[in-house]
Parts: sequence; structure tokens; C-alpha cells
Amino acid sequence: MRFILFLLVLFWGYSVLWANDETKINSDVFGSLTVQHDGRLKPVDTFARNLLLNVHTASRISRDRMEAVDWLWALVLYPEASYRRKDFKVREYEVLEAMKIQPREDHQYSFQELRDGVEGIRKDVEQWLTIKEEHQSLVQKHLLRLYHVMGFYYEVSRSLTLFEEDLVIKNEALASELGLKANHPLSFYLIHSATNRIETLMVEKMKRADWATDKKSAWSRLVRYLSDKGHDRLATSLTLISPKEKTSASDWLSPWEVMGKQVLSSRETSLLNDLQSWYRSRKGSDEREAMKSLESFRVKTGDNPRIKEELKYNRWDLFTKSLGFYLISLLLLMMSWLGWHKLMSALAKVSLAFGAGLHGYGMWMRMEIMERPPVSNLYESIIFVGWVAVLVGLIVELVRRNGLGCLCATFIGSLLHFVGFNYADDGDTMGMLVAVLDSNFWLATHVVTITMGYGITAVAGLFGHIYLIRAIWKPGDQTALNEIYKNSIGISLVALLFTTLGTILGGIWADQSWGRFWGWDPKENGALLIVLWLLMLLHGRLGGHFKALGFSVGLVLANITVALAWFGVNLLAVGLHNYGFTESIAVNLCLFCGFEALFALVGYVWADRRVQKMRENSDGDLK
Amino acid sequence: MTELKTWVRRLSSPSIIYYSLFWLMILLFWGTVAQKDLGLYQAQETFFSSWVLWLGDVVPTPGGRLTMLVITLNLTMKLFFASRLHWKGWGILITHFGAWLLMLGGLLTAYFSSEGNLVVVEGGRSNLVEDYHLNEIAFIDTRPVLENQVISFSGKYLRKGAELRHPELPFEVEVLDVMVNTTPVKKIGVVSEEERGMARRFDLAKLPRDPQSERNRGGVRLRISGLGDQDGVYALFSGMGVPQIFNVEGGEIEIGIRRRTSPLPFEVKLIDFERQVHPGTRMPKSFKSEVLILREGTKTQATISMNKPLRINEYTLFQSSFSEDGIRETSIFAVVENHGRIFPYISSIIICLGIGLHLVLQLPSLIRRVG
Repeated sequence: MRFILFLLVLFWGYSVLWANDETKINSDVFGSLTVQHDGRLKPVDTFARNLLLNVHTASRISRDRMEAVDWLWALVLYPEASYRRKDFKVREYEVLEAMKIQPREDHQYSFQELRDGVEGIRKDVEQWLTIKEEHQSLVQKHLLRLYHVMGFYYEVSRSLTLFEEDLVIKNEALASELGLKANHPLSFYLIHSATNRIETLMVEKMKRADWATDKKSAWSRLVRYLSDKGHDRLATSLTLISPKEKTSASDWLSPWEVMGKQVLSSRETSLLNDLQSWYRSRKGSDEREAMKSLESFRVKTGDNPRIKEELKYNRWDLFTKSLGFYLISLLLLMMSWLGWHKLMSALAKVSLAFGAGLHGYGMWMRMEIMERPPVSNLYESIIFVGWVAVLVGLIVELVRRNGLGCLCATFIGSLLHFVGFNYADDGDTMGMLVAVLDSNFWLATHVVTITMGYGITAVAGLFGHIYLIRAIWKPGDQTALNEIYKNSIGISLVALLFTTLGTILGGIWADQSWGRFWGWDPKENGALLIVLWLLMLLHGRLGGHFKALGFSVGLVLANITVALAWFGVNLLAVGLHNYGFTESIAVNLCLFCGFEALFALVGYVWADRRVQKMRENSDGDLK
Repeated sequence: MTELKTWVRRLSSPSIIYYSLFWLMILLFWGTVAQKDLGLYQAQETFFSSWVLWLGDVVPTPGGRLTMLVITLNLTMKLFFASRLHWKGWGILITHFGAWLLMLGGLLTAYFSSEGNLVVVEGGRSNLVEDYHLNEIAFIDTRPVLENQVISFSGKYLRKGAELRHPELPFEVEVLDVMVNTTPVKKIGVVSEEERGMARRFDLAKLPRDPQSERNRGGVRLRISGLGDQDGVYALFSGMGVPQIFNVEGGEIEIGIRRRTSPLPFEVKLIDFERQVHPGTRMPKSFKSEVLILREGTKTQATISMNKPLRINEYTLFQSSFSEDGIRETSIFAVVENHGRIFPYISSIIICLGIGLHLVLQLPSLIRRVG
């Protein structure tokens, strides 16, 4: 009896797992389909993540343990139910107030609620849309952003409604006249594909005076159905249908666009049939049939190695893993100060190296996917600078073996990962480049060099911090202080090499592209600011204007020049090549610069007093 | 001799470059932030291309050009008179030489380069380059003998009180007012007896300078004398729909204010302009112009695209912009004449070699493990 019970439990468990597996595989196949959006081909998985980021400010719904692709799947299959789910996250109290929506603690609202809210102020919204962005208030900006996201969300949700079998023609005469099955669920696509004469027929029939009442009402229902559904024709964002000739410039089409063509090729008909079959089976919970249809669709649209790579990139989430290793390394390093020094610091280095490996491989995958160098936008620059700082820290650690390099690497690597994740929340981090920036040669030389300069300057800056802390903590330990001072000079020189080379290469790119080596553009000036600051520090040291303490303070302040060059110039929104404007940059930048300035000031005064006091004490001892 | 040595030591002191760099950084930061309100060109003129920067029009401080001159002089003294020829200092020496060359190239570019726009309609041809920022008053002589000869005045002539005279001009011109940015507004009230042409019906209202230089519409008020009935005060602005024409003996002279224009020694004919966008978006992917260069009876076909300019002797033509009016496309090229353009290329190599060598020589001792 026990054995049978055991077998039953085993069978039940297996069947549950098997069912889940099929759903999972179906979801995976759906996520691996290709879609063309924002000028590039990407997996549906990425499309779903980006949409969910815009809607929910996260790439998964933790509340329901729902991955982005499953969420998208639910959205396109069951739009009406999805509108009632509280998937939208709105944190701006003023925006909710403007829409007369009661704010909630979890900040989560359904599309339906928000739609009603927007309806109430539609006239205002329409008027705000005519205002130039720079003249819009913050509330207007946020509300219009939400309005656009809602619009896009709605459009995506209607992408596959043409396959929804929600009409039954009970009138057999009408059905037969149209060549359709009576008393059988039909979709807009099935009606459309069964007869392309429907519009002509409609006009003809309506003209006839002897048209029977029941027929009239059947016609009327059909006409209303077609007219209502026809509004969804504008849902063209989910461009799943590949063109026959696949070139980088070819436009992919949405199912609605393909269906709207005058003449469909057999390939296009077959693709739409696959989607119809998938839609029907998926709604009918026939997972196997759904999977078969989806696979057939995927095979016909063709395989793309870059899409596979991007899927892997999404799933592996290497940057989160590398962050984990950096944090473990930092923890181990701290533990090494308490005991088991050798073992713990060795483990810290290993963890750091693992983190750096994953970090680097993540960037390599991005390069393969986009077929361009590692840095082409602000997000990538953050990730790359973090990696450079980790490598520099690792090298210093391997030479010095006293934990300082490890500390720098883990601190900057982790910090920049957090900053990067924040930027990744804005949406697709693999956007296309405008014409003038679309040059792999210059992206690989100038941009990489200057961002390496940022990273190395950041490490030098951190050495400045460490010197000040050490000078306050142990002002008498001159050997250690001198060592940190020397190291920071060395790292500053390397930083100077890269920032100078990067700045000059930028000038040469400008000369090649715009005809002038130097145009005093904010981005150019920002890069020059770092070079001048480092030069000033090195010459000030030679001229005897300051010694180790002053030099270290200067290095702390060098971080401000890096932040201004990197993020600050974007706030000006002028010039030829700033990456883009993010409002939150201003606040974060001010906080960072304020903190660094305060740290430098307090650090200098405190350390100076400690050194003075120590000298006085030693003089007293001598006396 | 000792005194000379003392001066060399003083002039090559790292303190000079230390303070100059500090001041240059202030200018750089200030000039960059000011671009938000002043625009790139005006900020550049005020902070970086100036000898003196006036604080509140009262206190003179060194402008960008003066600061860079001090840096160059300090660098020259250090490089040629105060460098130690020890092998450990070779990296620094080479770096300083590269920086000195870079400054020299900057000097050449500042004084001997020019840039502007060449606008060509598809199917059309042109050799006229318009300055981005500066205006000129142009007199176009349409008398048959002179065949549309253009006499133009710019620079120091384009200021209040300037007198414009030329042997070929049969009248005298006095500049009464110059406006960087203006718009015509319908005249209200009494019309002065002196006012002629457009000035009888419209006043030129001064507008603040637009940060985007190309949006500024220059304006000028002139007094013309020596033409009898036609003597009087005239108002002109860039892009006037109806040109101001004077009848002179044997024909007409047209007068206008426009962007300073200079001819190229060759003509550019635009065969085709092509713009590509990223699929499914309106984001530009590439711009490309097929052109024909017409020079002294020869024709050369060439392509100018983004990041791939066309170089003809000392001129370089870049794909800068475009416009469409629904019928024809117009390509806008940036034309640059720069005799110092090779300097940054050479100096950057030298600077990087120098810093690299210095690092090789110094880094091991700076990073090595102690104890």
C-alpha cells in the first residue's frame, strides 16, 4: 500500500513538474522569438524586460514571481485581465494627485485605474503635449512619461488580438455566404483570411432592401466586430514577422501589418497561421500544440546567433553575479583584518578575480551582440569604468599584496555596478547610435581610452581617500603613508597617460568628423578638465606647492573632475556629443561632489591636526 | 649671465604652469557652464579665445588665449633652456616637446584656419562658403560691365559709426546701428523724413543673442549719401524677402546683410543625397552625398559621408547636415581650411610616447612593494 502511495505521489510530482516544464519551455521559446524594436533586432525576452522596466521599474514582478516574458505573454494573450493587474509602479505623489488617484503604500496601480485617471485630465494632457520639454514642469514631465508608457503598453497588449477567436456566426446562411464555418469560434484573422471580399460584400448587402432582419442583425454584429477590432490595427510594435530578404535595413512587420497587406505571400500566411494556432492552443492550455506552433514560427523567421547570445546574456545576468563576487571579496578582505589573514586575503583575491572574469565576460557578450566596442553609451561607460578600476586594483594588489588594491577594486567595482543597475532601469541598454557616433574605430580608441582614464583616475582618487583616512588613523606610520603616496603618484601618472591620450584621440575624431580638432564642446572640456587637474597636481608637487597630504586632497577632488566630465556635461544638454540627459543625474552629482569636497576639507584639516599634534608630542618627548 | 640664468629659472618654474593651469581650469569650467546661456560660439569667444576676460566689465583677468600663451612660454623656457638631459628625464622631455608642438598647432589653427557652411541643393552647384557666425554687408553690382561684382564689408566695418567706402561704389555709407539678432516689427507712429525703403514701414527690434549662433538674424541701419533722391536711412536684416536696390548710372546695385561669404577655388555639384535611418525608427543611421568636384575644366566624382570627409588640398568637406522641402534635398557641408591640422596628430604621438617612457622609467619604483 505504501509503495503504491509512494508511486502515486511520484507520478503526481512528475506530472506537475512535467506540466510546469512544458509551460516553461513554451515561455522560453516565446522569449527567444526575434522582434525589431528601436532600430535593432532583439529577443522578445529583452523586449519584455524593457517594457516591464518602464511599467514596473523592475525586470520581473517579484510579487507574483513572474518573469518579464511570462508577463508579456499574459499581456498579449489576456489583455483585459492584465489591465486589472496592479503592474504599474508610480511613485510620484503629485502625478497621482493630478489624476485624482489615491496613493498606495506599495505604489502599484492597474492600467485601468491609471487610464481612468488620465481620461479625467485628457484635455490638460493634450495641452501639455504641445509644450516643449524644457518648458514642462516636473509633474508634467512625469505624467507625460507615464502617458507614453501607458500608450505603448496598450499598443503592445493589442498586438495579437487579431488571433483572438471571440466571434461566433450563428447565422448559417451568412456564414456560408462568407465561406466561414457557422457556430464556430472565429478570429479577425480567420475572417479576414477566409474572404478578402468582406468589405465589398458588406457594401452590397447593406444596399439590398429585402435583407432579412436576422441577417441584418448578424451583419450588424459582424460589422461592429470588425470595426471595433479594426482599431487594433495600430498595434504595430511587436514586429515579429521577418522580411524575406533579411538585411540590416529591412523592416520587420507586426502581425497586424502583415494581415493588412493587399496580397500575402505563402510564407506570410504560414507565419500568421502558426501564430493563430499558437494563440488558440495556448488559450486552450494545449501546451504541446502551442509549443509546436511556436517552434514552427521560430524556425520560419530564422535563427540569429546574436539573438541567442542576447538571450544567454539576459539569463546569465553576469553583472549581478560579479557584484556578488565583489561583495564577497570585500567581506573576506574585512575578515582578513580580524584573523586568518593569509587565507582570507587569498580568498578575497580569488573572489575578486572571479568577479572581474564574469564582469569582463558580460561586456564581451555585449560586444558580440551589438558588434561594437565595449563603450557606446552612458550605461556601458559605467560598467566599463568599474571593470577598469577592478583590473587596476587587482594589478596593484598583485604587486603590493597589502589589501589596498583589493579594497579599491571591490569598492569601486561594487559601487559602479549599483550605479549601472540604476541606469539599466531606464530601459534598453543596447540602443542604436546616431550617425556621427556610429564609428567602431573611434569608439574602440577614443571612448575606450578616455573611459579607462576615468577608471584609473577613480582608483587614484580612492588612494587619496585612503591616504587621508590613514593619516587621521595612524599619523605616525610614515612608512605606510609614504608608500600610499608613492603609489598614488604612480597611478596618477597612468591616469594622466590615458586621459591625455583619450582627450587627444577625441580631438582627432572631431577633426576627422567635424573638421576641427578642438571646439570647446562641453564633453571635450570635461575630459580636458581631468587632464589639467592631474597636470596641476603633478606640477604643484614638483613646484613644492604641497606635499603628500595636499596631493592626496587633490586626488580626492580629482574624483569631482571625473564626475563632472562623465556626468556633469550631460546636464548642460549642449554640444555635439553628450550622451543624454537624466534628471536624477543632477541630484546624485551634487551629492557626490558635495561629499567629496567635504571629505577633502574635513580630511585635510583633521589629518593636518593629527600630524601637528603628533609632532608636538614627539618634540615634547625629546625635550 | 647669472641674471639670465635666474630669469630662465624663474620663467621655467613649475609654479607658473601650476597657477596658469589652475586659472585655465577655472576658465574651462566657467566657459563650459556659460555655454548653456551664451551658446558655444559666444562662450568660446568670451572665455577661451579672448586675451582679457572682464569681470563685470570692471576687473580685467587673463583670458583663455593669454593664459595659454603664458603656459606656452613657460613650456618653451623649460623645454629649451631648463631641461635636464638625464636619461631618467627623457620621458618628461619628450612629453614637454609634444605639448609644445600641440600648443604651436593650436596657435596656427587659431590664426590661420577658417570654417563655414557650403549649402548645395540636389542637382545644383555652389562654391560659396558661409561663415557660421559672422555677418557682412554685401553690395552686388549688377551693372553689365561689372558682371555681379560683390563688394563686402565685415569685421571692423560692421560696427556703429563705421564708414563704408570703395572706389567702385558711387555713394557713401555710414553704419548707424548693428544688431546681432533682430526681427522686423511694424512701425507705429511718425515716419522720419530720412527713412527710406523698408525702414519707412518697419523698425528693427533688437533681440537677445540666441545661444545657437545660426538662429541669430543680423540687422543693420545705414545712412546712404551721394545718390540724390535715394539718400536716406535704410534698414536691412538677414533673409529679407525683398532686396534693397539702388539705381545708379548704368544699372543697379543691390545691398544686403548676410553671413560672411567666401568663394572656394572649386565648385561642388550635388548629384544625390541619401539618408538612412535605423529600421523602424526615425533615428539617423547615416548621411551620404554623391558630389562632383568641378575645377579648372576637370570633374571628379566623390562621396562625402558622416565620419568620411573629402579632402582637397588644404580644404576638408564634411557631411554636416541636410534639409528637405518635400521636393528636393539639400546637403549642408562643413568646409574647413586648417593649416595646422597635422600638429595634433604628431604631437599626440609624441606626448603619449613621452608619458609612456616616463611611466616605464618611473612606475616600478612608485608601485613596488616595500618591505
